[in-house]
Amino acid sequence: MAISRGTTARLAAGLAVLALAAAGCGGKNGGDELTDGTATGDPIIIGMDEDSTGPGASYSVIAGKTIRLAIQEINNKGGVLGRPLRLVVENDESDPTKVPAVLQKLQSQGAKFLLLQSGSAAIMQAKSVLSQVGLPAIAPTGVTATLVEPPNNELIYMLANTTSDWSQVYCGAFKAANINRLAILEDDTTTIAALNKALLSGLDCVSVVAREKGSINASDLSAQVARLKNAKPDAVLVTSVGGSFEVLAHNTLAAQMKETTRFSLASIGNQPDSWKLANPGALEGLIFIGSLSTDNPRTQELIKFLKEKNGQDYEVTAYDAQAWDAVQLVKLAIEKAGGPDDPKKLNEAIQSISGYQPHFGQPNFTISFSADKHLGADGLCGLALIEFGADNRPKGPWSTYQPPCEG
Amino acid sequence: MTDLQLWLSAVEMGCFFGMLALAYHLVYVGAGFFNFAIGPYAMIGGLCTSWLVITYDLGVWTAASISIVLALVLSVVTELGVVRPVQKRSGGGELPALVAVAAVLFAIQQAAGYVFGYPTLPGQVLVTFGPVEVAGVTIQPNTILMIALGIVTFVVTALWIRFTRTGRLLRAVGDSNHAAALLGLPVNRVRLIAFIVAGFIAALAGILFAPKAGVHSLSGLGWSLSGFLAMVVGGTGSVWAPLLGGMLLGLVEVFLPYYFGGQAHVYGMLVIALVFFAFKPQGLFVRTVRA
Amino acid sequence: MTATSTAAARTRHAEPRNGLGGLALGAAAAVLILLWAGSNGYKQTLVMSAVTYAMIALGMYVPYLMAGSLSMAYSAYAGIGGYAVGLISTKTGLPMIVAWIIGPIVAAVLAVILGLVTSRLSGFFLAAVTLLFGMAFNAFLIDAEGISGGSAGLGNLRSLSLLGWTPTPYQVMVGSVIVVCLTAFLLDRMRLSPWGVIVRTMRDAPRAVEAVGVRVPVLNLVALAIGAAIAAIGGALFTYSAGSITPDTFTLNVVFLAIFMPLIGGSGTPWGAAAGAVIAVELTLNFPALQASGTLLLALGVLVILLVAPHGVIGYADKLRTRIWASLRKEPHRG
Repeated sequence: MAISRGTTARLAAGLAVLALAAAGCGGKNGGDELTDGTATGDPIIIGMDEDSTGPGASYSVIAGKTIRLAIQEINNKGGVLGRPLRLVVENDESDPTKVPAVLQKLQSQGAKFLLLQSGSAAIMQAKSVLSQVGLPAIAPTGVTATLVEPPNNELIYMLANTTSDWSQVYCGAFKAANINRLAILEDDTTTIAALNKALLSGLDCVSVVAREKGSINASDLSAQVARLKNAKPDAVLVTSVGGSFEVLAHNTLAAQMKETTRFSLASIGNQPDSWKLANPGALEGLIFIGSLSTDNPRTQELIKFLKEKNGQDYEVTAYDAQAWDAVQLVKLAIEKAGGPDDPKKLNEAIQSISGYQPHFGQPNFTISFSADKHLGADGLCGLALIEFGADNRPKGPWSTYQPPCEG
Repeated sequence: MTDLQLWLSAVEMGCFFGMLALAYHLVYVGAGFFNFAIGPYAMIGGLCTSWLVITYDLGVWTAASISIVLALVLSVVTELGVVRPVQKRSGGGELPALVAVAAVLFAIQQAAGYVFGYPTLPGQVLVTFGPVEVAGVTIQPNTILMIALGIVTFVVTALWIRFTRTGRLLRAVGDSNHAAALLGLPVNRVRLIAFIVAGFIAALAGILFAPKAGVHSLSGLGWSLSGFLAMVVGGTGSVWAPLLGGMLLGLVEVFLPYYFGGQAHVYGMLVIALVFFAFKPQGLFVRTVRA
Repeated sequence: MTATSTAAARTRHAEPRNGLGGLALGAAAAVLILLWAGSNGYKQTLVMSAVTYAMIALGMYVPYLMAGSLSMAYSAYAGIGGYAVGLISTKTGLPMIVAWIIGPIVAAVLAVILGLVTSRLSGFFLAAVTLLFGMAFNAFLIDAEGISGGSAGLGNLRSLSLLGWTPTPYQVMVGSVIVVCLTAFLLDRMRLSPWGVIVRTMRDAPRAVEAVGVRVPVLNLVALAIGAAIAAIGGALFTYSAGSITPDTFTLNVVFLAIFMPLIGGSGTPWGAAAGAVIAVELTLNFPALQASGTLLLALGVLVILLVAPHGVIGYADKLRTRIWASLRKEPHRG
């Protein structure tokens, strides 16, 4: 027991220094790197609840970065009503117990408009807090239909097609590919539970012959896949928030059920980083719901812009486009309301937006809101079915079926 | 239980749990202490390797070596900086050391998230070759490495304990810390060696297992629990006991969900823990007549 | 909030006999916190988070620091309290107040059952089993969709209504802070009562306690039941003020924070757990420079405290107080 009291104290001091150092480099996720650009006048403060470190970080960080770029671009071009946008950011780590405090904090920092870029359990919790806070909010990458349905939906908005539209798309696809028996592999997150409820109620075109659930942190899914295999399905649908679960699922499916067609939700297509997790060829033939169509001239512009900013290797996803459009909609609403200061007017201004042409979806896809339409997407043509190639990258539209534009 | 693919998964997980349990075992034998920070060492091994490869384009072997060194440093700091002073002050009481090691676990996880980022990173495979097909079962290279190196680790550790002076010292000290100190054996040095070897094995296990489902900063806690359970189930009677415990746990992890679906293995782990801790806390392998 | 937390930190049991000194200082700190929060919604939410953490930490305090057993199933107990509120609100027409009675009872019963099953375990084994129990409970909440609402949880809760009076969020906050103060005071009294002395002796010398005819297992179970009930109240308060609960609302992260809170605040008195909760919330939620590293700072802080100031902030403040006192009076005090 040679260790002395002095050593302990020194070690403790070392730890304290380390802690202070950590504190010093904190704030790296703050919005403070943005400038006012050419805009003058009083800044308009936009609050963002961004999960930059929790389970929702895999997509929130992508969207958050583009939100910052979009705001900077608006400021560079003269701002909103001549005033610059300022971004204040708080992190809820997708932890519902932190959401009330985070939203209240954003409001106390002067935010007039909120962007909810977090896990959907957290956003669901936020929904009931919004009425206390009294600010309108957009969930840029939200896809859970219940999020924008009553009750408590007065102040919350989403852009993209929800899962109820997805079931129509899948049904079209299953019919075209002659698939009658479907097996489902899902993760155990709140997001997927809510999503599957809506999705499956619309999937009456097939019989679901097996349904298996695995933990989002699972390190093995071979048992679940073996059970699916026993049910002899025509196709397997993987529903997960993406990330390591999704890839583990496809690694296992590729090994055990090579011949069966695989479908997935949108997340795998939006997470280029997780493609690297896949075994060689494990994603080949996987069909997912995408939202980016290179036929859309606005999408092309955005891709060009983002590649300039983030480097030519940057893989532009629907998250980027939805984040970008969310900021444009905030700008539009503030302009329509004549200023950011009256939340009620601002909320009505959002509801008067109609025919906005977004940077994702097919060329003639539009977004409109109204008092009882808090989901922007007009019709199915915000969606496309995309197929993965042998190199574990999306190779292009699935030739068998595409969602019709006049859904 | 005829599906070979399932058996393969079970053996792969068994090897991983077994290696973690072996790390627990060594610290327990050398220091009479359950080092709950074993899982985070493994996480550091896997996560730091991936981070170095992805961020700095280092070669896998260089990155893995750096990560192992980092895990060793953490292991040494755990022993010298936290466990030893706390144990010394509390006079051998179990609770302060338990809380201290819980704080270490929590701190390593948080620090790892801060430094390496919070998203899941893909694991890096040490040697790249194509998947192998045996009897209709596709075996990925990372699975082969996990199982092969897992077994090599056990063999080397067993030889080390049996045939080297340090290894024999470890067993002597483990039999009775107090008596060993009275005999003038270098108890502190042996404890430290146990922590270092355990840190190495844990970090290696983490690197080997990471390619299966990726690794993130919070993977450590679950791994700590699985390793602890595997060690208790196996018992402390032999170096091979942790491997047996790990294999049993691997079978549970794979076959319970297969027969009962979904999250059956979570309940299964709880039941196994309750049964073993209450009725057979000494595990399956008990060391006989050595005191 | 920093000012108030140091005020809370001074709340060491001034008069060890009846715990009233602790109550006075604790109440003073609570009043300062309430004044600080005022009608600011954000600060009110922070206070509610601190209340939740404090109740979970106080719940863990009972078996952990009094009886010496580290149970880590407290995410489950807090969850039970929260789900009681959710279920009573969404599935029954019963008055909401019933949830605050049923939740703690269910949690206490479960704690007794788990306590009976694990009665032969201690230390690391108990910690591991209770952690696994917390995980299994989480899995159960996800699986039992008919009861718990599955992964989506329960939301859109009714407001509390007491004989036609519906408290405002501010009143709920004041009430919750009073609950924390009362709980800490009662635990402090209990700690100093003959029962508390026996329980603490049991931690250090179970055989001796058994020898004088007290049944150790029963005492242990009582401590576990009380702790679980307190944590359930905390879970219920949070769920009510946040308006919804999911299986992920109370995670293992909360359990770890709750172990550390008494250490940060000072393990000599229950008020330490409350002070620790305030500091933890301040660091993880309200520290502007830190963003995500608040939790890291907390973890490193715990290690520093373990190594240099094992009695926590309150213990440290108390030592200082005693020293100043002694130098003023030239009369030695016992620390």
